[in-house]
Formats: sequence, structure tokens, C-alpha cells
Amino acid sequence: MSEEKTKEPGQTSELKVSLDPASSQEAAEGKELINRRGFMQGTAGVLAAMALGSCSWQEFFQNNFRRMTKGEIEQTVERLRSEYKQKYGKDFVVDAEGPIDGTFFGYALDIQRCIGCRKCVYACVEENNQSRDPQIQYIRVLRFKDGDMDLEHSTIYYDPEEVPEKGYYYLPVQCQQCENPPCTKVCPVQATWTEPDGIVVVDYNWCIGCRYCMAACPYMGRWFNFADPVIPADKVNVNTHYLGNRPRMRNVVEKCTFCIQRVRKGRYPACVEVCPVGARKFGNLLDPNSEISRIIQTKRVFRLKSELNTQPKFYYFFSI
Amino acid sequence: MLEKALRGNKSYFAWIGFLLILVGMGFGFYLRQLGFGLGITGMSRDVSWGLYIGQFTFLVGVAASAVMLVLPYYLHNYKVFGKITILGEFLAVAAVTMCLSFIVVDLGRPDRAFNVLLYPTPNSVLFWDMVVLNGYLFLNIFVGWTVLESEAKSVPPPKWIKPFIYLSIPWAVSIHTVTAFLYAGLPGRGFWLSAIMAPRFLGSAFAAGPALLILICLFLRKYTKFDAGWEAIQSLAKIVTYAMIISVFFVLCELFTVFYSQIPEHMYHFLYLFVGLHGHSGLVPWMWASTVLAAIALIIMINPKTRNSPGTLAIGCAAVFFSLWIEKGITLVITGYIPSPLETITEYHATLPEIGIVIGVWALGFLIMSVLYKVALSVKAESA
Repeated sequence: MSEEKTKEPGQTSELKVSLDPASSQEAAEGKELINRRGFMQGTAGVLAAMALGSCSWQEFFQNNFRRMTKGEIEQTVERLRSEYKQKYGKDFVVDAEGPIDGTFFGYALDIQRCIGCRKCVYACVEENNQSRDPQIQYIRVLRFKDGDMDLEHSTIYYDPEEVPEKGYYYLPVQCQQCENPPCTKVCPVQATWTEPDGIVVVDYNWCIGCRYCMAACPYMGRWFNFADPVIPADKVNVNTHYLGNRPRMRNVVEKCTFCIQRVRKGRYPACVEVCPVGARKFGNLLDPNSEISRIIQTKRVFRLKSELNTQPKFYYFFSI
Repeated sequence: MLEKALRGNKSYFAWIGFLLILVGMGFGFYLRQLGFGLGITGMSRDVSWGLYIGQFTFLVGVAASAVMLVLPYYLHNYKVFGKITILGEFLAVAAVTMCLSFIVVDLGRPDRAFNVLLYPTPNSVLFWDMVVLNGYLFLNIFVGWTVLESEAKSVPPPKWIKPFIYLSIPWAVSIHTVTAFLYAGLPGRGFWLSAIMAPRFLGSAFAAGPALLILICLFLRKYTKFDAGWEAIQSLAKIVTYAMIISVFFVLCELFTVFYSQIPEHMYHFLYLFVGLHGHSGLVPWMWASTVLAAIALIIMINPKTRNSPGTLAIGCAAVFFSLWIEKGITLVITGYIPSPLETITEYHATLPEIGIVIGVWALGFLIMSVLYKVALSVKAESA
């Protein structure tokens, strides 16, 4: 990438010098130079300057997560930690832990128990550092009238004094963690993929923000940061994963990761933990005795839009 | 040869200056977009592609103008198009440049655009679209320029250029097909999930591109010394007529399938588009404008009398162009998102900065076209 950029016409020698930083100090000086002069140098100059304005050279030249060496991952994690420290004044944990051997995660939601309280929605926002403004919420709770399962007649805008409401039932929808995901297939840069434990993730530092994956997803499971994400410093969750809930930047896509930062440490996703009626179940599909496996074997389960052959690992079921 | 673009009369430079101002304005808005994020546009979580991708889609079609001249001229030795083939090729250059620019302004992180090359992804249609568009741009610049250079030296074009010319013909088909496949392969979007999408793209492309070319030829005939020849314009007009009929027929095929089958995921989009859905009708006026324009276009273009007269022909071609501009540039992309896969309705309204950027990119395209045409016409005037 550096070579391509340096060959761009219309850049001054100062810019070229700054593109080959011998030390981080020089890089910082280069950043200064570009901030002052870069904007007048045509598109190439502006794009480079924008890249610098919002990130460091290390970030600009950072590789796709799947192509990084162990050392590069460590460096990147350190850089992110200092960035976050600067922004939020807190010490972050940025895990890059791989999958646990022998795990393949699945999820099940009991629509007979769900009372539509949306506690999962807000627990998810807090756990996963979703932007409060503009608002991002990975979980949508759809309300249906009893006797009707037509999405067309459902709504996410219900606001009663008490839930559950008589005559209604609820169907929360989030990323369905498909085994045949239409979203990862369309990404032109492989910034999103399925991890070996079945979690569909995004490398926020590789995403080019084309939003093709959002067009491809039939469940509206993906969200875009249309402006700088805002998270109050006292609300920010410092226990993060590189592929999960670490703070994002503007103009990139993000999504539910089954709380990768928790489940790879043997914990439940935040939505499962917070559900007051125990409607949400999570576990290892490879273990025939896990709760999730038993539900799939013994209950009446269905998957959303199964006719599209997306093969979600997110099941809905009836407990009675 | 490029220096010929630097010589011209007052109105030429006034036109170039005007375009430069528009490009500058668009660039100013673009800087604001870069600084704030794509939230500055009318796009949202539910409608995540808007005017930019719409314009891109339409302009892929305009780029087709070249093949409708190249094919008859080089494959069928249809000499009448000899004079204007270069206009088609250079129009394609301008159109494809606009396409690529619209993709870039739509990217959230243009600074990472090179990731497409750093991590090539054959399973993504968008990756292939980038390949075919850049290829088509290269082919048209290369072929157009080489042939024009020979003309300037009053020698026949070199023989080795022929394979590139022949290659450009299927390549033109590929840019529409691949662009249609961007949409036609997504399981959750009933509006786009149609096997006729690629043929539809070809149909409308072969109408919109040559229609613009006729308008340009009529303009040049009236205000400059360059005359494309009435026979060439008439042949183009027949191409536009057939292509427009086919294009409208394809849309009617879509309407039959969705409304006779009554499958909601496919039908709701068309209802939203033509009559509105649950009180939301943002695109209804646009769609009916496009429909009325298409009807006017068909009446004028099918009737030989009106097709043969420059005045009505110009109206007919303008009607074709704007009807398809609405259809591809606005409604096709946005309606795919309304209603959403979870059947919610969020309308889309373009914002001022967004429209400013769109105008800026169009001005950039016209600038490139004007400069290239200036060179081509100067060469032709000197060698004549």
C-alpha cells in the first residue's frame, strides 16, 4: 500500500518523506506536516491526510487480522490499548484470543417465554460498546399479534406500561450467525468471515465501508457507524476483544458476535445472562449433551427465513 | 494531442470553467462528508445505499453507448458510424470514470480502498465489478486514443489494435451483467432477486447511452462544425427505439411475475414504488414521472415522422434518458431497501451535501467528456 501511495501524483516531497517513517517520532512529525499542507494536494493528498487525521501510520498500514503474525497482533493490540486509554482515560483489555478447541456455538430463543422487555437490547448495547449517538442496537424485538406470524404486521415500536401485553408475543431478532452467510460472501476485501467456532466477525480496521454486506443480510443483522460513535467514558466496557466489542471508528460496519469477548472465556453472552425469564439459551453445538443441543433435539424449533438456505445457528423454539 | 483541449473559443472555456466550479463545489462537500461520516447523506441503517450507488448503476448503462457504435462499425463494417465511434468511446470513458468516482464517494473508508487489491476476493461480485469497470475504462481510453492518433497522422489504425476492439464488445456486456449481479444474487432483497435483472440492465443501457449520444450529436451539429451525419443519427435512433421497447417490456415482465404470483416479499416493493405502502410514498412521483416519460419516449421514437425530425427526436431522446435515469439512478437501488427484509419502512431523502457531491461527480464526467471531445473534434477538423 505504501508503494502505491507514494507513486500518486500531486504529492509534495514532504508527504513522501512522511510516508516512510523511520521512527514513530518522525511519523508524528509527518502527521503534523500533512495536517497543515495535505489538504491542498488533490484527491490523493486529501485521502492520505484523512487517513492520517483519524489514525496513525501504523493503523493505516495495518494488515487484515487473519494475515497478521503473532507479533503484529501484539503490537496492534498495544496500539489500540493506548488509543483507547487516550480517548476514554481507562485501561482496556483487548483480547485476540482464538477459538476454544471443540466449540461451535449455537443459540436458541424461547418465544413462548420472551416477554418483550428489551433488557437484552440494552445489556447488549452496554456490553458491546455500541454507539449511543448515532444509536446502534444489535437486537430488535419484534412484536406480533397472537395468531399472526407475518413480519409485515409486526412492529419494533411498541411502548406499553407493562410487558408482556395481552394478545401479543415477541420475537427478538439479531445476527443469526448463519452457516451459509450471504454477508461474508459479498465482502470485496474479506473484512468479514466466519471464525472456526462459528462466529461471524468483522475486522473494523480492514472494512472499507461499502455496506454491501448490509444489502446482503436478510435479517438486518449488520450496522454501520454513520458518524463517530459516541460512548460515554463512564459507560464504556473495557473488557474487549479485537474481533468483538472494542470501540469502533466511523464509517465501518459492525454486528453481534455472540459476545466473542465473553464466550471464548467460557461465559454466556450478555443477552443470555440478562434475560429475566430465561428465554435465551446458548452453548456448544458439538457437545450432544449441552443445553442447546438438547433443545434442538427435543423441542419444536424453527429458524427465521429458513427457505433462504442461510442456515442460521440461531434457533427459535417453543418450550411447551 | 491533449494540447488541443487548451485551444478553444470563449464559450468553450466558459463551459470548462463552469464545470470546474461545480467539481470544486462537489469536492468541498466531499471533504465535509469525509470529516463527518456518511451520516451527512440521507442514507441510514435501513436504506444503506442511496443516490451514489444509484448514479453508479445508471452510468454503467451510459457507458454502453460505445459498444452500440463499435459493434456495427467494426464487426459489420457499417461505415456510417465511422465518424462518431470515437464519440461513443470517449463518452464511455467519461461514464466509467463517473461510475468509479461514485463508488469512491460511497465508500466509508476510501483510504482503505486498496484493500480490494491487497486481499482480492473472487467470491465477491463487487470485486469483479471493480475488475470489469477498470478494464472497460482502460480498453476505451486505449482504443479511442490509438485510433484517434492514427487519424491525426492520416494513417490507418495499427492492426494490433483490432483484438482490443473486439475484446471491448463482450467486455461492454460484462459490465452490465456484473453490475446487475451485484443486486440479483442477494437472498433477502425481493426487489432485486430477479433473473431478468441483467437483461434489464442491458436493455436500458442500450437505450440510455445512445440516447445521450444522439443528444450530443444534435448539439454538435447545431453549434459546432462537426456533423455526425443524419444517417448515423437515424441508425442510432432506431437502436434507441428497439432498446427502449425491450427495456419497457422487461419491466412489464417483472410486474406480471410479482403481481400475478402475489408473493409479498417481491410485491411490496413494487407497491411502494407505484402507489405507496402504509402511507409511505416517497418514490411514487418519481416512478410515475419515469413511466410518463417512457410513454412519451415510445410514442415519439416509434412513430417514424417524429423520429425523423431533429426537434422531436431530441425530445424523444431526452425522455428516454431521463426516464431511465429515474429508473436506474433513483428507484432501482432505493426501492430494494423499502420495505426492509424485516418489513419495516424507512424512507430515504437525499441531503444537500449528498446532492452537491452527485452534481460534482456529474460535472467531473462532463469535464472529461468535453476535453476528450474537444481533442477528437479538433483532430477530425484538421484531418478533414
